[in-house]
Amino acid sequence: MGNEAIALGALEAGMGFVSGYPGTPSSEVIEALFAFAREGVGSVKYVEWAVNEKVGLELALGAAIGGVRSMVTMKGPGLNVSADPLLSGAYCGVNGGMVILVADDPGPITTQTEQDSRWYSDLAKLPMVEPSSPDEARQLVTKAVTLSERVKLPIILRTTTRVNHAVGEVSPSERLQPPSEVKFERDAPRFVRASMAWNRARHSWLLGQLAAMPSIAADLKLDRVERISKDRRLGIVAAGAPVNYVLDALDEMKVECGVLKLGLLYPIDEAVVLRFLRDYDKVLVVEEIDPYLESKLKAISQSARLQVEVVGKSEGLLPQVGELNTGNVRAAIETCLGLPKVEMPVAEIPVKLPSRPPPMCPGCPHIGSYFSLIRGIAKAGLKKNEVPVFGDIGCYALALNPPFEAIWTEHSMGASISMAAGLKAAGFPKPVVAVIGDSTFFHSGVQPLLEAVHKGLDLLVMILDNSTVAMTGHQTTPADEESDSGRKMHPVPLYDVVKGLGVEKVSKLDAYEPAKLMDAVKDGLLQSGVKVIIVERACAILAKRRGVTKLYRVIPDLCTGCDVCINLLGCPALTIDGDKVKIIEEECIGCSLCAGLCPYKAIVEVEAR
Amino acid sequence: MNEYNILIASVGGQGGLTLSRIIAEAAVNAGFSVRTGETLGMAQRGGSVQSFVRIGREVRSPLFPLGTADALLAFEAAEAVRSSAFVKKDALILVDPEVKQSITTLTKKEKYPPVEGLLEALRARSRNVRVVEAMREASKLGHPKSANVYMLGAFCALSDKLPVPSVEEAIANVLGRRSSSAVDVFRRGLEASKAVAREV
Repeated sequence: MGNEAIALGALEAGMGFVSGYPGTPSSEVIEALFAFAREGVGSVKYVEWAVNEKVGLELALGAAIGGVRSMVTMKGPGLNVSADPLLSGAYCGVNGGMVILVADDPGPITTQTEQDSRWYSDLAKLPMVEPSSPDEARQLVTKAVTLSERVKLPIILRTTTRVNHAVGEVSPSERLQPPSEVKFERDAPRFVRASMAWNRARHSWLLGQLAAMPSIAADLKLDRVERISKDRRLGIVAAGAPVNYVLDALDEMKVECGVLKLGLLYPIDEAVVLRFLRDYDKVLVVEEIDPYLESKLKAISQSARLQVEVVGKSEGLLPQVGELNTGNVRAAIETCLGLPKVEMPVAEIPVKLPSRPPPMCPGCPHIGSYFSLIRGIAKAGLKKNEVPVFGDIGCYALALNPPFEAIWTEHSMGASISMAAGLKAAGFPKPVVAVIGDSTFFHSGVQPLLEAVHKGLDLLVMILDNSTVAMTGHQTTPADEESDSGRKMHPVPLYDVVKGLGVEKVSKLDAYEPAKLMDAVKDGLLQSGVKVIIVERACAILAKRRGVTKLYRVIPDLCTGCDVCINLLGCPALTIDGDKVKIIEEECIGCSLCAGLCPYKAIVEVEAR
Repeated sequence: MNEYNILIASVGGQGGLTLSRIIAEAAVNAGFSVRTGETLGMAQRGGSVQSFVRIGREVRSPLFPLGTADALLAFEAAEAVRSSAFVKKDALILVDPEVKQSITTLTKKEKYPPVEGLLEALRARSRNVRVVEAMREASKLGHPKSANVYMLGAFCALSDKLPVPSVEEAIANVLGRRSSSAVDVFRRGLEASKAVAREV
């Protein structure tokens, strides 16, 4: 997998420090480093998850100014969270090579926006490289570290899902030795941003480093002419995963075109681009999401007064929304060359298929939480459609789907609390609820809660504490005693944090005891001030891994097939067999929620096999 | 080998992703170039999952377009049909007739179509449809989690694209502790496939 290849690249590059925050499609890099250490493949001295991406980036920067080769990993929106130190980091630069891995998600497949993080290079003035395959990603880590140490700047390694999550063959290289000494000497003009004169000087320094980049990077062979064509009609410039679609489409069409693959996206090596542009009458830029390279190439071509026509998304040849694929790239090439369109045959599906919205897992504690929330709203004498429920990022956003259809918003990390608070502060007349997970709360929920407490707003916050970062694959949180690397940690209890922020009404309840939880919700909706309910119950997947001791079974003679359990809980362990409910025993983890709900007491506890 | 495209259709939690990883490693073990990709939403379990595997001398893109799969391995009847637009005419289709209801069918907002109708739709797409009761057989062997490698056994018997030793090595590597029972289930799938996978 691309992310494992990047982890291998981190070993090869002699990294001494890796940090990050889990986020699809980036999470497996650090996961793989943990696995490599366990399996004896090799280890980076310090690898741990950080509380959020900003902290992760600052940690890695701290290591790198001490001469340690470092990396921080994140998904696209994580770079937004860490934009502040990103821009300041460009002014001080680094001593040890530093790589900022940002994994974008064209499609989008798992991300809230189709963010194109390439623009961050222009904003921060930091070099950026991008691979087109897993093995290239592995090699680029070492190249990025080398480049970083030569140019003294952090390097952004930008990837997309089709590289991070693609599986492909890799051929490992030799490993560089990590620098052994951690050394940091005071150099105030470089590291202190309080003097405006120094800041101007560092800005000039930064521009100078970028201007020197082509000669600094030349021997790293980051860009590559993949195909040379004698036919001048069309050349193609591409970077990242789309390079594959271009080469596949050309092979399929049996058409000759020049192809330039850019590995260094910022600053673009103008000499390389100009050489290529001069060889063709028309150049098609193939890239995902925004016309980023296209705008650069158009500017380069115009400054040099070239005759070549540079085309891409602005001409409508390729979509700005969604992923590219061999099919739409092929269509763009056909249009450029004036070839007849080859329509792909599309098979009709003759049967109406049911949709399959992703449910929560069997026995998921969030099922109990949302069931109790909806019941609590009713018990408070309110209607479900008059109490806005602000969701947040994590598995609990699946409450969007039936049967709960509970959340009204899901935005950015921590925004549940602050947006709910904002609506309330603006004068919204009815109660508002924010639902946030434990890790998301640690990541970005703390300051919003502080804000709500300080402003004395009426707000019910449910922190769904399943004691893990569940959605991205069960990483540890700051409340854990041991980190994923096996290191002893100082646990920071969620309750203490909430109390410490000044919340007076804090309760801890169990997701599997809905009667108590719905009463707490009712009280929380009707009382004034900030109320926090911490709903404690381990993620069902972890509970299942630890071993199930009991489960539940339906007594068919008692079940009337009223389906109340299915309609209210939507637990995937519940299914219908004939006209009765049946519990799929391999799925049941014994949470008891359905048994407590059954009006006919038809669901009984049995010992797990 | 010319490029060979395999699509694995499953419901999250059925082992489709793991199977794509096993096939990829088996292909690399056998000296091929390989790429995989998947269409996977926020579902860890319970959503529709399509895994794409491309094997050949030099493959690049992780996905392939509609109408270009040489084989479809499907672990659920409706998911098989959902993915059938990806297969070439008369591609090898291995389908487990297992039915996984979705929340919309359980709450009666939508209907789950009759399985026979689903198989009919597959047959309209290909004359090479085989029913492989992978889940049932793997459960009978006491390893329901190994339904994916049972299906892989059937695939190996019916397609000869992957050498058996390369596959067994890949199963051992990918599944680690669970691999010895999984290799057994794989072998049962391989041996039984001609008897069990009845032509429909």
